[in-house]
Amino acid sequence: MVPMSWYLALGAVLFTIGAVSVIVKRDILSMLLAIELMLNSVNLTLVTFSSYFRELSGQILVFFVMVVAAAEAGVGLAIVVLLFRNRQTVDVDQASMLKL
Amino acid sequence: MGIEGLGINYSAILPEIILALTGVALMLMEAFWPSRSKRRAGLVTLAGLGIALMATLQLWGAPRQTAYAGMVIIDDFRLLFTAIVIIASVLAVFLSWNFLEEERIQPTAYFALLLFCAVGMALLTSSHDLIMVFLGIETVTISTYVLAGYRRNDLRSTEAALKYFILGAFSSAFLLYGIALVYGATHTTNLSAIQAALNQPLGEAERALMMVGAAMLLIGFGFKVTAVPFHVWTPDVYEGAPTPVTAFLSVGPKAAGFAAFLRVSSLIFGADFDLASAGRALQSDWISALAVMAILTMTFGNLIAIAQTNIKRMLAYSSIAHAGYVLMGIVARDWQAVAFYMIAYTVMNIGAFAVVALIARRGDEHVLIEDYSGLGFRQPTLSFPLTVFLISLTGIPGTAGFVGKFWLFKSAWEAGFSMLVIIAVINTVISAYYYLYVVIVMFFREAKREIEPVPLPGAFGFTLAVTVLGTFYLGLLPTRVFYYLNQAQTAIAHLIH
Amino acid sequence: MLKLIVFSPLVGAALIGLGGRRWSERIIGTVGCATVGLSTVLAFYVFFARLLPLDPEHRLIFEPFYNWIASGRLHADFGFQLDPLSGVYILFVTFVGFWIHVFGVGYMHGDSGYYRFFAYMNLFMFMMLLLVLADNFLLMFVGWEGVGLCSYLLIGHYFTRQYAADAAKKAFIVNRIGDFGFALGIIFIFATFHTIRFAEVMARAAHMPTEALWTMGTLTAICLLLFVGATGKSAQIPLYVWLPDAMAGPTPVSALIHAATMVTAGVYMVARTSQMYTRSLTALFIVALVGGLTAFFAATIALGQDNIKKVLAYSTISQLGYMFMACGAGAFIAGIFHVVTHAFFKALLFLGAGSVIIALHHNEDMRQMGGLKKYMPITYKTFIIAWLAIAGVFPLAGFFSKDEILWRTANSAVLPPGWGRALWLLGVITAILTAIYMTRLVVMTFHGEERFRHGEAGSAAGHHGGPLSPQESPRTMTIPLIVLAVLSVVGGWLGIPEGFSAGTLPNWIEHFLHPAIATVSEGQTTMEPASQGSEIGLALGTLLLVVAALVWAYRFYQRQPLWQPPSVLVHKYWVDEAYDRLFVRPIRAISTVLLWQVFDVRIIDGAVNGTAALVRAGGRALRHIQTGAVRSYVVMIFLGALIVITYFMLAGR
Repeated sequence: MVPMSWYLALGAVLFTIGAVSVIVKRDILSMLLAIELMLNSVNLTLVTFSSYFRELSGQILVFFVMVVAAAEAGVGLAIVVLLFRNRQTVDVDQASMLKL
Repeated sequence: MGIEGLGINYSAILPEIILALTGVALMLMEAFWPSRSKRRAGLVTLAGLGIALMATLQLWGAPRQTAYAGMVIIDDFRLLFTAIVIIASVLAVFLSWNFLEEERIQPTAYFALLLFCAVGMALLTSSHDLIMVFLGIETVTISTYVLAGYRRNDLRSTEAALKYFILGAFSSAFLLYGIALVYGATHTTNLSAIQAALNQPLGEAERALMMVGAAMLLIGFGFKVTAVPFHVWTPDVYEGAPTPVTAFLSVGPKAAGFAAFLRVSSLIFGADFDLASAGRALQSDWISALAVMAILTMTFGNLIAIAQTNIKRMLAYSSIAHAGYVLMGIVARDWQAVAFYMIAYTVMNIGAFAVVALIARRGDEHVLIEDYSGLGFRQPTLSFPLTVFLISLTGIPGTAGFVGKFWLFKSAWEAGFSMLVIIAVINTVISAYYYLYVVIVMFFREAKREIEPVPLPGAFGFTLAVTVLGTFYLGLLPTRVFYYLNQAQTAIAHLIH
Repeated sequence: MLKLIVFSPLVGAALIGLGGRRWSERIIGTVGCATVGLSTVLAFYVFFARLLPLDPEHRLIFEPFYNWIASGRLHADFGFQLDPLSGVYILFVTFVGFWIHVFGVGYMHGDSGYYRFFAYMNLFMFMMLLLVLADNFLLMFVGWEGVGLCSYLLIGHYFTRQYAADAAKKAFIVNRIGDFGFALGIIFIFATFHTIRFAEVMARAAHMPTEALWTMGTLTAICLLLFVGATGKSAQIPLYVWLPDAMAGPTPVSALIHAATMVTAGVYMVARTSQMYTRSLTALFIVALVGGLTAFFAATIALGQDNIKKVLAYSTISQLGYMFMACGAGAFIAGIFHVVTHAFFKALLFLGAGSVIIALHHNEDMRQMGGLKKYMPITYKTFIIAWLAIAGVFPLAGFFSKDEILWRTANSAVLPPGWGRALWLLGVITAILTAIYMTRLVVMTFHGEERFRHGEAGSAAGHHGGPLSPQESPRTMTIPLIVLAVLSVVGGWLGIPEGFSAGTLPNWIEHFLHPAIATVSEGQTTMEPASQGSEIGLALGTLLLVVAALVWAYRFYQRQPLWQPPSVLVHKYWVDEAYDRLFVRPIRAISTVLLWQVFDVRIIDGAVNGTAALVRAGGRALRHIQTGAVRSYVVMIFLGALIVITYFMLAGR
C-alpha cells in the first residue's frame, strides 16, 4: 500500500504550485484555475486522511468544498465578465484604478 | 447511527432558517410578481431580520447544547454575536435604502444577497466544527463579493469585487488547508473533540501537521478579520465598494469572523491544557503569534490612516486598527470584552459610514476628506453626529468607544500582556490625530468648492439617531449590556475549560 | 445637591446649544451665567452648610448617582465625592468661572459665535466640576478628557483663522499624549488595587511601604504614569508646548481654562493621589524637579515675548511649575493653596489683558500699546494689584502661597539631601524673573508713550484705518475685574503661616485640607518650632529681592520699553521647532513614505502629490511598474503566510 505521506506530499506540492501560479499568472482566468488547483490539492489531502483514518467527516468536507468551489467559480466568472465589459480586458494588472 | 444520533434540532438554527427562507422568498417573489419597488423588498427583508432576531433572543438563557452531531452550538456567546450581526444587517438595510434608489439597482437581489450573507454570519457564530466554520465563511464571502461589485457600471466597484474575490479565494484555500491539516493531526473537525485530542501528547508527525495547520488557520482568519499582513485587500475593497456595502462589510462579516476566530482560538488554543499535552506546547506559540499580529495590525492601521485623503480609505485603515484592538481581546481570552467592543464598534462605525454615504452622494462622488470642509456649521445634522462617532472611535470617555477600549485594555493587562496594552494606548494617541483631522476640516476650514447641502432622508435620519443614541448609551449607561454579558459568562466559562 | 452643582452648567450648555442660534445675546448670556451662578451658589451652600459643620476628620460626603460600569471586579459609579480638597476646588472653580462668564458677556459682544462660546463654556464648567467631584479615577478621566475636548473647541473658536485651528489641534494631540500616561496609570491602579474608587485606593495605598529613591516599585510606576498625564494637562516640561499656542482662543477662555481651572487639574490629581505619591520618593523627586525646572524655564521665556497673552501663558506654566515643585517636596497643601491664589490673580491678569485687547480692537502686541493707564483707569488699577500679587508682594495673595512653597521646599525631608535647597534657590530666582517680566508687561502696556496710534495704521490687527482712542470697558467687564482684584488681595490670608503670627492666627487652609491630603510629615517632616523664625527670615529675604527686582525692572523698562531680549528667549529655545523635527515630521514621514511603499501600495497624501502627478503623467507604461494591482497583494499575503508558517514550524521543534 502506498504510504500516506506520498499523498500528502503530492497535495502539498499541488498546493504550492497553485499558490505560485496565482502570483505569476496575469489573467484572471488562469488565476481562477490556480485557485481551483489549490482547493483540489486540499481535497486530495482530506480524502487521504479520511480513507486512512476510516473516518468520514473528511470526505464530507470534500463535498462541501466542491460545492463552494462551484459557487465561487460562478461568482468569479461573473466578475470577469463585468470587468471585461467595463475594461475590455481580463488582465488583472489593468485593474489598478484604486491605486491611482 | 440512527436518525436521532444526528441531533437534528430545528430550533437551534431557527434564525438561520428564517433568514434563508426570507432570502429565497424574496427571489421567488421577484420571479412571480416582479416589481421594482424597493419598499416591498426592503420591508420583507426587515421583517425577516426582525423575526430572526426575535428567534435569536428567544433562545437566550437556554442551556448550552450542541446539535447536528456537534456541528452547531447554542450558547449565549453564539446568540449574542448572532444578534450583533443581525442588527448590523438591519442597519445596513436602512443605509442601502437611498443608495438603491439613486443607482436604480434591482433591490430584490441586493436584499436577498444581504440575507444570505446574514445566514452565513449567523452560521459562523454558531459553528462548533471546522467544516461549519468553512461553510459559514464561504457563504459570507461569496455574497459579499457580489455586494462589493454592485455598482456595476463603476470601475472602482468592479475592481473592488475582483480584488476581494481573488484574495478572498486565495486565503480561503489557506484556511481550508489548515482545516485539513488539523483534521490530519487530530482525526476530527469537531472543536471539542480537537480540544480533547490536543489534551494528550501527540506523535511527531501529528505535531508537525498541527503546527502547520495552526499557522494556516491563523492566516485564514487573519484575512477575514483584516489583520496585518493579511489586510491588504481591505483599503481597496472598502474604498471601491458602494458605501453602504462598505459600512456593512466593516461590521457584520467582521463581527462574525471574530466570533468564529474567538471560538476556535479559545477552544483549540486557549483551553486549560494539561502540562504534558500537545495543546500546552502549542498554546504559547499561538498566543505570541496573535499578540505580534495584534501589535502590527493596530500600529500599521493607525500609522497609515494618518496619510489618507479619502475618507473611506481612512476608515478602512481605522477599521484595521480596531481589528488590532479586538485581537488583544482574543489574546487575553476575554470574549465579553470582544463582544462589547464589537457592539460598540458596530454602532459607531455604521453611524460614521452613514454620514459618509450621505455626503458621498450618487456614484460615491464626494469621498475626499477635503469635501468635508466647511460642513461643520452649515449642516450640523451631519457634522455633529459624525463628530460624535469620530470621538467615540478615538476613545474619548463618555462614549461607547471608550468603555470598549478600556475593557479590552484592562483584560489584556490583567492577563499579563502589559506591553501590548502600552502599545495599544500609544496607538489610541496616534489615532486621535487622523480622526480629529476630519473634525478640524469640518469645522475649521472653509469649503474649497461649493457643495450643495444634502437632504437628510428619513432612513438615514433614523440610522443616525439610533447610532448617536447608541454611542452615548453604551458610553454612559453600559451597565445593562454588562449585566447580560456577565450573565452569559457562566455559559462560556464552562465551554472554555 | 452635588448632582445639581455638576449638571446645572450642562443644562445651560444644552439649552444654549439647541436654542442659542435664534436667541439674542442677552438671553444667551443670562442663561449661561445663571446656570453657572446656580452652581456657584449651591457650591457655597454645600461647602459651608454641609461640609464645614462636619467633624474635621470625617469631612467626606458621597453622593452616588448611578451605576456606570460594573463588570466582574471592575466597578465604577457615576458618583460624586466632596471632601475638603474637592470642596476648595469647587468653590474657586465655580466662583471664578461665574465671574469669567460675566466678563464674557461683554467681551464676546458682537461675535458671530456668541452662542457657541457660551455653550462650550458651560460644557466646560460641567466637565471641570465632574473632574473634581468624581469619586473614582474613571469618572475623573471622563471629566479630564471632557475639559480637554472643550478646551479644544474653544481654542478653535475663531475657526476662520488657520493658526487657531492648528493651535486647537496641537493642544488636543499633546494632551492625548499625556492622557496615554493617565489611562495606563488607571489600568495599573485597577490591576494593583482591584478598585478605582479614590477612597478605597487611598486606603489600600496607605498600607503600602514607602518606596525608596530610585527603586521602581508599583507605586512609583503608577505615580509616574499619572504624572505623565499631569504634565500634559498642566503644561509641564516636556508637554508644555500647547499652552502658549492655546492663547489663540478668546481671552475669557484663556482666563478660565488655561489659567485658573483646567490647567490646575494636574495638580489636583497629584494632590488627590497624595497617599501614593508620599510613598514613592522617586516620583516625588521627579515631580519636584520637573516643577522647579518648568517654573524657571518658562519664566525665562516669558521675558522674551511681545504678545501680552503669550507672556501670561508662560507665566502660567511657570506658576504651575511652582505648584508641582511644592507637591514634589511633599507640601501638597502649599501647592493647592497656590492653585487657589493663582486662580484669582491669573484670571485677573488675563481678564485685564482681555480688557486691553478689546480696547485696542484685538491687538495683542505689547509693542503697539503703552500709556493706556489714563484711558482705562479701572483696568489699570486692578491690573496693578494682580501684578503685585503674582510678584509676591506682602500682603497680597501671591506672597503667602509662594512663600509657603519656597519655605516648604527648602525644608523638605522627602527630597534627596541638598536638592531641597537647590530647588528653593531655583524658586527664588524664578520669583525674581517673575517680578521682572511682569513689570515689563505692565510698563509696556500701561506706561510710557502711546505706541498704538502709529502702530495701528498698518498693523496686523488694523481693521480700522484711523487713530483709535481706547476706552474703558463696559461694566460687565470691569465688575469681574474688581471682584477678582479684591480676592487677589485677601485670598492669601486663608493661609497665613503660623510662624508669622506666632500661632495666634491659625493657618486655616492647612488645617482644613489636612485630613484630605496625605502628609509626609508623619515621622518624615515635622515642622520644628525653631524653624518658624527662619520662615520669616526666608520670606523677608525673598520679599526684599523681589521688591528690588520690581524697582529695577520698572526703571529699566521705563527707559527702554522696547529693549530686545536675547533671541534664544524670543524663539522659546526653539523647542517647537525641535519637536517638529524630532517627532512630527518623522511620524508623518513614516506614514506617508515608508509604510506606504511597504504596506499600502498606493499614492496618497498631499505630501506626495507631486509624485502622484508624475506617475499620472507617466501613464500606462509606468502603471505596470507600480505594484498596485492584485498580484502584489497576493504576493504580500503569500509572504505573510510563509512567515507565519515558518514561525510555527520553527516553534514546533
